[in-house]
Amino acid sequence: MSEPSPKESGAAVRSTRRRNTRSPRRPGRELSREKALMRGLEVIGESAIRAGLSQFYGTAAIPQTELFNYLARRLPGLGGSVLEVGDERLAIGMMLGAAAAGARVMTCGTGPGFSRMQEGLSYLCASEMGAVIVHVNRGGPGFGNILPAQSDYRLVTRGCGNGDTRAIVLAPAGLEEAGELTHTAFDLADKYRIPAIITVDAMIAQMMEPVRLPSKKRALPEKPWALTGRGNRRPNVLTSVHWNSQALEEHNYRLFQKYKTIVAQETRSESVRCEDAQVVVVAYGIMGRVAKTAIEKARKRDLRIGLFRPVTLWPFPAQELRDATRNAMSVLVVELSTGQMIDDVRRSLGGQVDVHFYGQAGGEVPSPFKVMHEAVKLFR
Amino acid sequence: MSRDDEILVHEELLPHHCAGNDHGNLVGLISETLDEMGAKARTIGVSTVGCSFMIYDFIDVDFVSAPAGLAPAVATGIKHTHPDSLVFTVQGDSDVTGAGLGPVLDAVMRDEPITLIVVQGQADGASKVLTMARALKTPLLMKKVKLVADRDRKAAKAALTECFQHTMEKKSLAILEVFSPSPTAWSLGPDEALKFREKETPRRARPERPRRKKD
Repeated sequence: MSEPSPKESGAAVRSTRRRNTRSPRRPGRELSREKALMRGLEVIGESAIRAGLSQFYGTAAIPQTELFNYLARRLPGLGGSVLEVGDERLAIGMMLGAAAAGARVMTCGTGPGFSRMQEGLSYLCASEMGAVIVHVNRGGPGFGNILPAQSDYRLVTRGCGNGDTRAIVLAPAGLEEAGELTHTAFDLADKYRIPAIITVDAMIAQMMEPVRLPSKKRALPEKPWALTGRGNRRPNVLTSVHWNSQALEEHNYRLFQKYKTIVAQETRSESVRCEDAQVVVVAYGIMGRVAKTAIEKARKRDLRIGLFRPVTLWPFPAQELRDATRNAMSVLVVELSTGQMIDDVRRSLGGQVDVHFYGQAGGEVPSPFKVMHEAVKLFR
Repeated sequence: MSRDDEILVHEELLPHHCAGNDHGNLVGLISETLDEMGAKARTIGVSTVGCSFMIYDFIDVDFVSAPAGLAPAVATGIKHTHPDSLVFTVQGDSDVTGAGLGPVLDAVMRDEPITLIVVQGQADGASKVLTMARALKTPLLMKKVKLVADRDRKAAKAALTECFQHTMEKKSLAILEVFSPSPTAWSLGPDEALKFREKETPRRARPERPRRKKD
């Protein structure tokens, strides 16, 4: 595939001299020089193409439609395939086949559609196949609404279908980071042969801002376990069936060891001015970004407030959170839900700091001033 | 010893098909057909829940297990990745009529060049689904076979070869419907189950009887 310029992808291009240092970047990630004005889901789509995406199966359901539309425009011309399916269960089935065949493959799900994918996710985990799922939160249970929300934290971090299953969950707070984390998601999915979920809210998904996209991957990993037709080797079988109890136990513990390695090595987070903070705000995704503005406002008023933003929701960066809140007297967890990540925060801190909560759960995003106001209350 | 001569030996072969059920015969038929076509090296199979889940223990080709009903979707994903491979699924009738109704019709409407082998072991529910699939008027190759007598087996092998050839040449989707007794589900012995199958299958749903060759 030839590397597309942002112009080809229909995005406005701006030149820039200032290096963006806002997102926590790992060494080795290269960004293109040009900036493009794109939507969140378009950034994820373009970054996925540059990460070697060859197939996309999905539905054009709001608020994720732009991802499907963008890939439908771009991917077939580059030799990949995009299929619109009527049901997310079908999408994850097709993804399962493509992942088994060794392709870099992606799907997307939102609200009830993501719930329908749980069975397929369990099979991906059990048969050890790597794939990337873009998850766009919807507000509320059932249909809810399509406004910004973080209502599926528990579902993405705990629920991955039946069985002892896990998926890596990445939560970008901005579009440039969304592009980088898309590359990270594909790399981790292939490295650990596990599903990787990029979870965003409708605001990250829909908003536009200038971004520098990741450079195109030059080499993709070998997959000797993939189904290609056996040729002259022994047949490859990818199955989750283990009839013998001992074999199943060995399989489960092998998966468990893999999850432990991921927890030890793959946590990512961002700490902003936590060293001297009396109150640390813990927030992810769009609320992490809002909270960052809030602490900038607070610091101008000489209020010692810091921000801790988990980038990986699973594995949860528990040790990093303990380090960030070592000198704090209170922690304020801010979410677009009635309180889900707060359980992980409490568990990580083990009672060493008071944990408070502020959230909105109807689709409204609180202003930075409102977050600052809630944090200031904890000084009293 | 070449790969084709190698005999697949399993030290601990735990589950196997029930006596009187044609799943075992079908597995042998698929393996023989692929050998005769010389296509095993480029074949990828999809097993699913029910009696087909252990098929990869008996046929030495690449295999993946699909969730209930999703075998056609999984096969679609494989075929899109390796368009030149021969991709087939083996499903039971409950897998097609229940959770698999959407995926089967979706594969038919997309006309994916994959072979769906459906083992028809209960009532004729799956037949109705497949008849419905045919009513969609896509260029579909559809065959009905049974595996009782030798001549049935010969006809079945010819039909299976045709289905495999058809999808390898990317003409259209192919469905092979295999009528099988299901003695365990019916609480009958193998012989009784066979008679029950013959008696209870509506005439319109039966496979055509292969004609005897005149001497």
